[in-house]
Amino acid sequence: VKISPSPRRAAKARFGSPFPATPILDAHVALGAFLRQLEREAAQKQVVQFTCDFRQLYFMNSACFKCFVVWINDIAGLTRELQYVVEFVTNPNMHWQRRSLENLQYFGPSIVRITA
Amino acid sequence: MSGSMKRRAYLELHLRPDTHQIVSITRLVADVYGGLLGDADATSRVVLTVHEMLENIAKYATDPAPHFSLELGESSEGGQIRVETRNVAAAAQLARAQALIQTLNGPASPRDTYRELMTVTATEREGSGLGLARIRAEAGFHFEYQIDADCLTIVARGPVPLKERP
Repeated sequence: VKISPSPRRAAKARFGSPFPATPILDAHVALGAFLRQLEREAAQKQVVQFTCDFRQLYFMNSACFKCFVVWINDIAGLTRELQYVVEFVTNPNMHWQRRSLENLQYFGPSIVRITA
Repeated sequence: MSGSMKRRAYLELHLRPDTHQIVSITRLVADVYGGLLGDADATSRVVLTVHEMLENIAKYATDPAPHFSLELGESSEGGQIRVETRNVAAAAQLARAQALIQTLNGPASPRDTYRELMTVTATEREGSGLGLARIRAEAGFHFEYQIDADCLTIVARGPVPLKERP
């Protein structure tokens, strides 16, 4: 998973991935901490969009998926001017991605964007 | 599997898998069962189910060698997948699993139930509790369960398309 921010201003932060291509049992701990860090960075740097590249993500377990649920739920709880878009670039050959992300989109239809 | 069901593939394990074994097993399942199932979507649903159920026994089994099996059968009505786990667990976990499966087998749509659980879990920093609900909502399989003393058996099953025999 590669996550990169699109700045509202000239923020140039880059965020590396804290986990392997296949998140597994304890990966959710690192992922949760990483996404909380992103939330803080987003607020400081006025990020308007994050892009999560899932194209090489073979599978994500429910514990890691929950980290994204929490993240999107947190964004949805922000005032509109502080909210930002999270774009998921998906791989159509990995069928779980569409099903899982459509459920994630339910939490923030204006926040979650799914592209192939 | 019932008498009219012919077995196409069967995998059985008795172990409490670690992280790497779960990945190895799901990749094996994708390779082997993917060659028998009719489309990639079905393979994806089976892999998701296997992964989540293996993680459950890795997390919650208290016996050293819980049971896991994966069976693909065929009848005149088509293919049928059956994933079973059987393990000893703490009383609190047994009660939680029982309540959850009863909810998932209830009249509400699996998707609505899943989203409701997502809403609840979104405000909790610890634990997921989404694995079985995800199987029901995203893989479309039904659950059966049995509790004998401190032993929990969970079965996920459902129809799957089969690849045409040459």
